[in-house]
Amino acid sequence: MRVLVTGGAGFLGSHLCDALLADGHSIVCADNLLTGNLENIGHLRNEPRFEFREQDVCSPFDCGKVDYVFHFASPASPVDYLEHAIETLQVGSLGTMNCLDVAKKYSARFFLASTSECYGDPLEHPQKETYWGHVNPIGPRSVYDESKRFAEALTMAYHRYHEVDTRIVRIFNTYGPRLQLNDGRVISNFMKQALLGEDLTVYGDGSQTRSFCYVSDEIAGILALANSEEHGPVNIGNPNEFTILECAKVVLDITGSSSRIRFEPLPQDDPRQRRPDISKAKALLGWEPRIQLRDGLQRSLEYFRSAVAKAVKA
Amino acid sequence: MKVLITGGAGFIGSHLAERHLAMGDEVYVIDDLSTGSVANIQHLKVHPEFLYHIDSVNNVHLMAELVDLCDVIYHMAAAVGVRLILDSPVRTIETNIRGTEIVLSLAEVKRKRVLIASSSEVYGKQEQVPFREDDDLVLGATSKARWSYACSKAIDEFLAIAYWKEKNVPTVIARLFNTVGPRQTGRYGMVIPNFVVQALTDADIRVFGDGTQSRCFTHVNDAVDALVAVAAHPDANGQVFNVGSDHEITILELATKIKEMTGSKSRIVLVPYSTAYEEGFEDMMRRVPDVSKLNRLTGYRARVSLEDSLNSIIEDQRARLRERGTLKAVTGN
Repeated sequence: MRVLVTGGAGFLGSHLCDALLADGHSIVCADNLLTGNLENIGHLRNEPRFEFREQDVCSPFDCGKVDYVFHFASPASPVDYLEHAIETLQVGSLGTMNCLDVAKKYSARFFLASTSECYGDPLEHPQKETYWGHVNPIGPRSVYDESKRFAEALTMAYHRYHEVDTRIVRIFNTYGPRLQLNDGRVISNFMKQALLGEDLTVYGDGSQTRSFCYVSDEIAGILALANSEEHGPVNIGNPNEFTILECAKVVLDITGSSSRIRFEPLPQDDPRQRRPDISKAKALLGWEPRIQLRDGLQRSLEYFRSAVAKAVKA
Repeated sequence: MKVLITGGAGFIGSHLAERHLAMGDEVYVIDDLSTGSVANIQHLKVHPEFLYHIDSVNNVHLMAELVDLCDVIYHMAAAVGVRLILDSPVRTIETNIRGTEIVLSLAEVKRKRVLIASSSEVYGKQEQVPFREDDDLVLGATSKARWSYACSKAIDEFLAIAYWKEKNVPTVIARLFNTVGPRQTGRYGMVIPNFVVQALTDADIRVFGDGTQSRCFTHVNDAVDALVAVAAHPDANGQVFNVGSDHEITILELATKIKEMTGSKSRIVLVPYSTAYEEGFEDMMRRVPDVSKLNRLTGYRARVSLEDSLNSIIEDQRARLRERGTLKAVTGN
């Protein structure tokens, strides 16, 4: 297959490119490099089946005939989407429409990378795909949440009205090599602090919980869904919960860091927990995550070490 | 570190590339060869850390990739030289402004450091020497094409400062004063290479006006020292720096010196500006930088003497002429 991956120079997009190449496909990787990074795909530069295009998908574009469109372009970490608020809304709306138009034109299948943020600040735990979400449409995070909710609506509309063959994945917290160091979330913060020998900052008493999915599990789930016939949204994430304090201790342990843990007051907007209910993915795709936190962090350690070393040098 | 040099096949750009390679950095060059030359970077091509693209900075897609890859951008690409400005004013204005717009807007995405190469031309007809960075710019009428260069560079400076103030992109501006050295070509009206070639071939050394106008010449190695120092300095953001030497010499003295140093039989002749350029051509009598701001921030001082500069240029031009087989018996062989 010839496959278009938008956001292919991003964290997840670049891992998706790797996996698709390994499966023998050819790739057109489109990215405007707003938050993507060429270093994520530097190793693919000489791969003849890989073509990079500096392309903003918010303008209509044509990459030639493709068989599958994976739309992964969007700022995704809170740090990024709060900084690039308008661009985030544009890529979810205009960008998704342009990508759907490419899929429609070439009768290609279409795959939307959506997010657990669609559930907003959920009133139901854990979240099943049938939950409609609880989103403040005018809150600061709405730029991402509503952008992705609109993208889902648009995808379903193209499926219903234009008969485009579509898939929607709702991605939960994912980590691994190539995660941005300044991602602003707990794993990159802890890894950075531990490797720099700084105190690990834990807000509140550290008893609040998070769940994280290792990137290879996430990609395996995405590919399983891509190869299925399911059009409705599917949660892909790791439901295992860790307290922030447990997470900090694992990081200290695997990095061998002598950093200490420093407690600070809980900020007001600290998001309440989201945890995927993955029974649909299990039943439908036979997929479930296999790599647990300690193992995943161990596999990410080398990347974080070099990223921290590079950041210090620059 | 990864460094992008636009106009990296140009005279100053190629020396800058050489320096960063020597510092152990990875150097990316983009140059459309409109005034640059592959010959300037021929010797760098073998270097594994040197990557170049023969392309225009107007290729936004390519530029977006290069800016994304690099930590620092030196925007040296410009339409330069008095001759070119008079002959192709549209190209001069558009190249200089559009290129800078593209570089700055791409650098904004991830707040990359940008050094914009400007010119002592922006001081225009200012008569009070030495020139300080916060002095008024005194430009001539828009009907006089020569001022379009100064004005386009002034717009570049405004843009760079605005990107720092409004969008927090770390920019710095270097106003280069008559930079000279090996690889500079006289094709675009640069005085020293022209005099040297004229002297080496025993042709008339053509001094424009009465030759009492003076300039300060900076060896390119000194200029590169300064560029590298300000580009790396965190306190330089949003600021303008004069880069040059304050050693002044009249053009007539310069012609005489070059004639002596080359042992040339050339005559020195005075050519009115109106013959050399266009009717009503305006030139500046003196152009002396005040480099105290640069010195305070970086400890910079020009180190290469004018004699050493001239020697290196005479050597360079001799080699080029010998290659082309046009060197007459001036060397005594």
